[in-house]
Amino acid sequence: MEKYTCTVCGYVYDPEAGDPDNGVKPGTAFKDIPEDWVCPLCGVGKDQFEVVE
Amino acid sequence: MKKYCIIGGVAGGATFAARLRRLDEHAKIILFERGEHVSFANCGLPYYIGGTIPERESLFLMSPEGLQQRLNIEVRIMNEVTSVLPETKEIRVRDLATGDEYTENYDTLLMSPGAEPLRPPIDGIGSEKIFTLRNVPDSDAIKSFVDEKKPKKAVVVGGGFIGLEMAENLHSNGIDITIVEMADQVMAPLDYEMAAIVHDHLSVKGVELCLGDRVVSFKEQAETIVIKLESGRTIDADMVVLSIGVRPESKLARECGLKLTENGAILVNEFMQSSDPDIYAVGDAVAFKHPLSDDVVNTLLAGPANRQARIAADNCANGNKRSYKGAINTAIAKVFDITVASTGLSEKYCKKAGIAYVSNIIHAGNHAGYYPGAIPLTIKTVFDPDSGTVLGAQAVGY
Repeated sequence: MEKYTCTVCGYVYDPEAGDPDNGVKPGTAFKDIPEDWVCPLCGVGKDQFEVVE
Repeated sequence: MKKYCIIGGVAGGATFAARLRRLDEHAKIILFERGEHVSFANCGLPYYIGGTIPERESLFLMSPEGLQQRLNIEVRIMNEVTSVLPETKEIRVRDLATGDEYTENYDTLLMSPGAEPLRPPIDGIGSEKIFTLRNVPDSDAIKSFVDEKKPKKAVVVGGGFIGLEMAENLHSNGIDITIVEMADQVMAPLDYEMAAIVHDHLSVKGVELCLGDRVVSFKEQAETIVIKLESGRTIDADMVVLSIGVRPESKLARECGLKLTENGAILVNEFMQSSDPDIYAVGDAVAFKHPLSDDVVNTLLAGPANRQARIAADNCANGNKRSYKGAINTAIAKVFDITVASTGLSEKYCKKAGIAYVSNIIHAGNHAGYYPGAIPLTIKTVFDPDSGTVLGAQAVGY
């Protein structure tokens, strides 16, 4: 499962860690995260993320 | 005679240049700064806006002419480095005043580009009533808006150091303040119960705090600007200050192939060298391993930037002998009448990183109670349960 980075602030979503503080349990692939989830650092939507090669 | 080029003339760049000159009388040192000012007091900017620092001149610690006359450093302000070519050890530069472009070669390059404020693509973010604060021209823009337009109401987006300091300084100009913060607390480095003391003090000071809420759109309407929040609430204000956070300026480093962290900070070794041995990097744009944990972190503080710059200069002049140990991010801020301080690892950090810890909090006076005038000070310490090594500490109080 790839990592995704927020193109606005650089936060990196790591599927293994998930984002438990905001209801995304570890092991959740980026595509499976609910659409209303936002970047925990700067608040932009999933559409502002891009995959990390 | 070695030739050094420096990108960025504020904390890191200016300190590096000055230190290098003291170590090497003959080197050719050219400092490129795309703005008009070098080594200005970025931490003091909110207090200049608020009027606590009355004289604009006191923001400038050193002038381009001063660096030239005293230290024979050639300072080129309004000169923006547009690209770095490590293979030929050259940089491309544009003179913003004339528009000319030229090339300058180097033996060793220092990158100290700093970090830029975040401006997420929120609807309506282009409005002239929305300000960010990074340098002196930004401060001039905010200060003249406040002085001329006499705003009554301001919204500060982001409850970090800059957000709280701007809230305080606008408030002291009689402006009614609302702070909108996405997290459930202000000042992220603090643990929640310590930040709660700050929340309480802000409300005592009449500052409204919208925690756990996020700006969804800005809309200019006649003289005011309407801020729509995710909770559905709308706030009518005369101005907005965006202090959501910053991120390293990594364009030049990325384009010339230097190794970066995922969020764009320049990776450096203990000698402050980037992945290219002839390019050193220091300051807010750099990432380095935290001394107390395995994370590679980006430190946004003046102290470490200057320390890194001195180390880098020593290594350039005398060979890579001095190594940097990383920063534990000691930060202290005045928030209205209280002082807020934190250093090392917080409890929530240890929990997240799986580091064994024990923590305790004491609510004591700042001196013995029998002596008059003792005022409350809350101190939290986080330490290793076996060795007792202190991992971090926070303090909030008068």
